[in-house]
Amino acid sequence: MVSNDLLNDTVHIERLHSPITLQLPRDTVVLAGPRWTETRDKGQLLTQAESMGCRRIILSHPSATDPWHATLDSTGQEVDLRDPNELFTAVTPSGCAVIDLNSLGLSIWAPTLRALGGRGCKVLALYMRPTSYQVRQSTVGPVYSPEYDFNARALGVRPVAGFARLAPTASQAGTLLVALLGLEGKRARVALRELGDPAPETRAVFASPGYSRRLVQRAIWAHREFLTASDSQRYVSYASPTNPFMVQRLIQNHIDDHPDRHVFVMPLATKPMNLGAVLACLRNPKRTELVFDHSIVRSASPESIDSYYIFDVTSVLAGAGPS
Amino acid sequence: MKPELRKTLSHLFGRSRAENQPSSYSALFVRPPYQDQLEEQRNVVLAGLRGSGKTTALRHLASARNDAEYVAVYHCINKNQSLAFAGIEDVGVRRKAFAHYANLIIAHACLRLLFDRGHGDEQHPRDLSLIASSLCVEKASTPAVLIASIDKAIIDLENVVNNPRGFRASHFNFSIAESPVKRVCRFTLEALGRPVRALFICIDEYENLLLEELQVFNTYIKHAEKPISYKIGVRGRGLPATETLTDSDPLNDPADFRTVPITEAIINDTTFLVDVVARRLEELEKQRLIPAVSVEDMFEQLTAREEAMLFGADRVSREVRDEIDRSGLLLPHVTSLPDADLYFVKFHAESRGISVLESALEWENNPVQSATRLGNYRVPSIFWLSRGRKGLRMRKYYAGWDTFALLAAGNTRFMLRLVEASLTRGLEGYHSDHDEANPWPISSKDQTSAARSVARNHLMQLDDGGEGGSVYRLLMVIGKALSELTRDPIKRTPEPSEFELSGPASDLARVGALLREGVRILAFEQVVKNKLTAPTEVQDFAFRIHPILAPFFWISHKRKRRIVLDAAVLAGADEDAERSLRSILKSIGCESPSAEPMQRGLFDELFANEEPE
Repeated sequence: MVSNDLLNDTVHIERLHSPITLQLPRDTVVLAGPRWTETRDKGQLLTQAESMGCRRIILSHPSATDPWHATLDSTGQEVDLRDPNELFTAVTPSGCAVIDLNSLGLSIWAPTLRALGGRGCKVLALYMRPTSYQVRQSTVGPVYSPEYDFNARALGVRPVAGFARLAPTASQAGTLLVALLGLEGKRARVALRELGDPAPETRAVFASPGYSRRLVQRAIWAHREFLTASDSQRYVSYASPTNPFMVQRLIQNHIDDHPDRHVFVMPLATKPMNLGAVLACLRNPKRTELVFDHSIVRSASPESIDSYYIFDVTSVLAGAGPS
Repeated sequence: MKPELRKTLSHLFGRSRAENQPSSYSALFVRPPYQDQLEEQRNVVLAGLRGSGKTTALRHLASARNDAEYVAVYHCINKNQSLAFAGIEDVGVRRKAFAHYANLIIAHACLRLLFDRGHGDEQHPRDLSLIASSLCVEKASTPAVLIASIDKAIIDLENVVNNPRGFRASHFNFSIAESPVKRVCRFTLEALGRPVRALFICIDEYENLLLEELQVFNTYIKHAEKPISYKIGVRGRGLPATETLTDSDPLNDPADFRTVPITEAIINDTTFLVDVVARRLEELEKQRLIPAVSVEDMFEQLTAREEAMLFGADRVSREVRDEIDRSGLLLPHVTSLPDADLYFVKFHAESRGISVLESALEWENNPVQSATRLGNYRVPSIFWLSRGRKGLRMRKYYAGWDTFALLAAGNTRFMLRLVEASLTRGLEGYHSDHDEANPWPISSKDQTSAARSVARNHLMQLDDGGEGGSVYRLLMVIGKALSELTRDPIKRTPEPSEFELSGPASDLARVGALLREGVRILAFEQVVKNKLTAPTEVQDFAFRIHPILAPFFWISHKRKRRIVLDAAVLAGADEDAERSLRSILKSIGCESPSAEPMQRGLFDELFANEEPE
């Protein structure tokens, strides 16, 4: 059993093994999605947080096709995710906010981070890492190619609330795409296609070495068509699947290395990696554009949990208030 | 193969964004057959599917040389940007905001053009002040400064779409639709001076616009007048909507614009694709990476007889000859036939359910009729030859320039992929221009392998997890069914390539919608069933699998015979593709599909022998 006093902790990442005890202040707000209790351990964790006086707010989109709004389950109140003030007022964290990356979709947690940035409250992101990923073998696909499809379907590329960019990109030559890639090959392929022709110059980032070597190989194999279509085979790099700050730095390096380019960031990897992408975009709002497909997660949850991670993003958000 | 050759192939044949490299791009550009229409001073809609060359043509316009009589600005509609306006709930405000955005991006592109041509710091205080006022941006006296003002206005607008509730429309200065664009375009032409006499505004990926946004741009097109005109790139058969901001005044073709269907234009022009490939071969030759070759000589082309021989026509012919010999019959005409034709006696016998001798006698007595039959059923008989031969990976050869032209079906990108994949295989063992071995022509086997690989890659791209996933499953069911029929043509519709639907209206509507989506993503093609003979007649359509996918399913890439499929059964393909396939196979007389016992499912065979590359 591990106990952590996160209030006084300045370390960005805390790795925990279940079951855990979180020491949270009484005025903490836990922001989660409707499926937050799907895993027993996290149910315990958050129930315990509630017993300590923490407030839990369940956020969900009012409909699958509306990425702009979220509904607070307790009151039925609908909030505009693009309005940082309205969103901040709705969740009113007075001291600490914990965002559950697993049960909330990126289209909700990213605007929430934007709303919490620069407000003076402590912001933690909670992530549970599964021990394995389930292969969903298609009966109408190649036998040798295991397919991972954690998402039932996707709305397609469209802006994440509060992250829309309108700057003209006169030619794709003036753009760079940093693609964070997980195990699902289809998503990146489709998102790239929706960016238009020709594909921007692309830097592909895979998760490693946290995954097993086999998973890295499978991830690359799943993205072979993406790598070919974007001609990025020679520009592949790797980042820790559980370290958002490493990913944020990696993207920041690309932004700094290409000062005259508009940088598309495609967060289709692990949740911590996607968190790093969103943080990078929040820090560089004029130079970056999120390319996200608003996928809808399948109902099945991971079978077991390897470990929990808590990311303290307070200091990163401090310089990234809503524009 | 030398890495340098591999890299150059990739670059020249489009995988490494040749479009992004202006010098090589212009060297490789071949004027498409519709380029003259595009350069006319009138609005043009370039309609074509993905890979047909819209973007290349529009970008070429925008890269006009300084001494050209026209200039062009290019803007590609990005879904992330067009859908950003969807969140503004008030439709009126949404239209105003988008018109303001359209004004800003076109003005930005025009001023950027001036900047790139060395006019960025010229003083035009009066003109630019008027333009700035009409755009509702900060005043500027040079194009360079006005660009900065527009950049700031775009960020202001970005704040609006990112927080529509946080602003009041009445407090925000939106520029009015259209007029600022005319003003900035006229200014651009004046500043550039002679010889420039026309300005084209190229808008690409027009289909990504929302309806209200289309209405805005359509209005701009409607009211465009010389020397300004719009060149629109749109995926599909034409404009997605013709409405303008004025209800009763939609866009009309040809009064307001002319639609140029790219694919048809390329199919009707026999030289364009040849020139596109030839230009790239010349470049490879110039870099001394390959020995000289013409497009015609690069590919081995098989005659039907040669193909029949490759699939064992001689073996079957021997059986026929032996049987005739044993019978003691004198059949001088039949026995004088070459092996590449004689095998057909046995095919005909099996098709008709008669003996080989009866079939041979029929041929002897009706040689002209039999020769015609051989011509009509040559391809099915070749599939029949390849059937049941263990270890034979090929079922048919897809080889030769003419075959590749049919597979590409007017799609430039497909043709480049086919040639690149063929070259990659054909030049595998070729290391230097000092090699004595001549790599030409590329063998039929390598070409077929290339065509299969291109087909497979395209197929895998169709399964996108959304509507494309449903299209993919439908395609797999229909493809496998056609594949089974093609494989065993005896007593069935031989060489089927087209299909039409029958069944309840609701299923017809559902499957029809998927097929139309399939046409859009190049999974299927719509084909005309009847030629109109009277103005009152209604055009009727059937479908076929896009020819580029034919090598994957081992089916004919030519328009041949048509079968009828049950829409009710196909509608179930999305839920359970295997069940749907079994029902379809039963309905067309293929009770026992060719799934091997060791295979996991009915579709595995199609992916068999496909090793990861």
